[in-house]
Amino acid sequence: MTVIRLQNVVHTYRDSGLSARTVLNIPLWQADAGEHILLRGQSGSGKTTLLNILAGLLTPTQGEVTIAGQVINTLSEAKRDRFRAQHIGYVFQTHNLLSFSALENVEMPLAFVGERPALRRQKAREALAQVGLSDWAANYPHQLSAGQRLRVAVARASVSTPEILLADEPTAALDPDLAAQIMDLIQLVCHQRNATLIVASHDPSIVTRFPRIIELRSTELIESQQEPLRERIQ
Amino acid sequence: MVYALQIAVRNIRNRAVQSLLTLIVVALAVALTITILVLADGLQQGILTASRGFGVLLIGPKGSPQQLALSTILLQGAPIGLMDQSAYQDILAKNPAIKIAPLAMSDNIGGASIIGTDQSFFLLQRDNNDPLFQIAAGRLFAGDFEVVLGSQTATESALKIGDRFHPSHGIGKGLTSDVHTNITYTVVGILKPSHSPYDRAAFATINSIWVTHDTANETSDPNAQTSDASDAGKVAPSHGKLTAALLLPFGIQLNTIYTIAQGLNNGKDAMAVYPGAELGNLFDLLNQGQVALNIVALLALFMASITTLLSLYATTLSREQAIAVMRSLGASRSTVFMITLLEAIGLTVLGVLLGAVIGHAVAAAVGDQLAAQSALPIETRILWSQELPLLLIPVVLGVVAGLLPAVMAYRLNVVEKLFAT
Repeated sequence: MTVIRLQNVVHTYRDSGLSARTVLNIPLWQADAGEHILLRGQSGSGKTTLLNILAGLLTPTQGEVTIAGQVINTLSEAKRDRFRAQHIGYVFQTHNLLSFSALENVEMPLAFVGERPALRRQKAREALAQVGLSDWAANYPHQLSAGQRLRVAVARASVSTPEILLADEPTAALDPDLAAQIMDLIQLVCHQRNATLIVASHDPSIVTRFPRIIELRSTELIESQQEPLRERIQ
Repeated sequence: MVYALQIAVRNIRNRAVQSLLTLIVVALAVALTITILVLADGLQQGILTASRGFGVLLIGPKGSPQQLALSTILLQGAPIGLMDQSAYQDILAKNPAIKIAPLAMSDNIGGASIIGTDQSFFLLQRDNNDPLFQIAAGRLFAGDFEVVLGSQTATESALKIGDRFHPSHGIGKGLTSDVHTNITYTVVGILKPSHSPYDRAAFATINSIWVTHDTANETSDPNAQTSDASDAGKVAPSHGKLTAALLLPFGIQLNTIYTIAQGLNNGKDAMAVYPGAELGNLFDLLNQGQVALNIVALLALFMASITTLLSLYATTLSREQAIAVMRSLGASRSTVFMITLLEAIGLTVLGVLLGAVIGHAVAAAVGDQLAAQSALPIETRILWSQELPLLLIPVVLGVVAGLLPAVMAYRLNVVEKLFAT
């Protein structure tokens, strides 16, 4: 089932209205439910722009972005915010946790869509349990290790059972062992939820984890396919 | 909305020191405003209560009518001078039914004025016709150098019936060298509280005062003489001299009062003033002072609002990343706007509540101190009808102060802040 569909998506940055620079030009691209996709490209190639368009944080200059059957770039900003909280998870390069407890950080996306406090607490606890942090729910970010903070970030991105989970350079600042653990976790979480995972990364050590690799080159999205390493995610 | 409020509260708690400082500034500004309002009311009510029942006309030497009322009714400051008792003898001769209580004050016991008068002074009544002064123990004076103590004087001096003391010259606590060592008073009675400044006074026959100062003038007591001569604030009523007199409201028509007042004021020996009118003028003066203080308080409130604005502005700038993260997690622009605005409202409301409590506490403490010093019955109270609108001002200013940071949060470019590097 197609979960992501980009059609005639073009995105152009304008500097002070004088010069324009097109970073994306995608005639058609789509991804199915449960796919794990690696997004590659040189710095400045538009990887983060593409993730932000998929997350509804940016609206493309033109074209249509369909996520889980909903064209999101025509939604009002408030509806897009709500849609993002319900259907899209985002793991940033830095953990980007707020100065609240781990539990409060994780329940935040649910709170923004009006989930009842008791239910969202329960879901947040389950998400924390899934990333192995049941005993750390009350801890604040500064009381957690770098790995634990990223685990909380993964729990927060997955707590609303999103259809797609986006990750922007999630292993960039981690040592290889920790990077592998975090990638294992992200892929496990997506696998359990049958969520489509798109990871933007330069990290060569994670390439073999992805059955599908796409590369942004000169505004275009180039596809390459490889065999999945299912044992890594099961 | 509830969640936005929770986040706002957490944000306030997360930057405890900054929040506390803002809170203190708002609270102090509000406390200043409340203290001024409540204390002014307490003082005004105290003066009203203290002045009730003190005759219909106040007669005294020519001078400042207001100072005459202050020194005679509220016992504040020195008498304005001396007048001859004969100044109103004609009035008594023409109107035998009326009563005038003579007053001569120039000495004190431990700072409490010793007031020479006669028994008619104790006929003064409250509005409900209850006697203003009632004996709690002992009796009224019957002869010279017998003294009746006001309730507060009795408490402060610890004098009991039968005790003796030497008076000191002057109004208010004087020097040891001012003591009239040749004069001895005997305590014969103690009054119940009258809730007037006269609770901090002592009463004797007017002749006792006259004899004291006749003696001082005749003897070569160097201390008394020197003091009398050197201190312009002190008067020494010798025989036949008074500092003031009260026309009592018994058996007298309104037009007669006017006639008496006019007659005295047209003469050159004395003047007559209406206590109510003079206290009204005093209130006008107090109100003018209060207006000036209110302006200061309002400026303080504005400064507190600017502090809130600066605090929230700095906080919002430092928290742009966090706001961007919340937006990326699904918080709408209006949600982050509300969170920031609720922080401003929360800080302001807390500051206002704290300030109101501090303001009332300070007003009560200062009121008690003033009451102890002046014997005015100053009681502070909550002035709902005046305080509530007044307290709305800082809340409104707090909301206004919160708007700029809230708009900043609303307009934040999420992508720029999240992916700045």
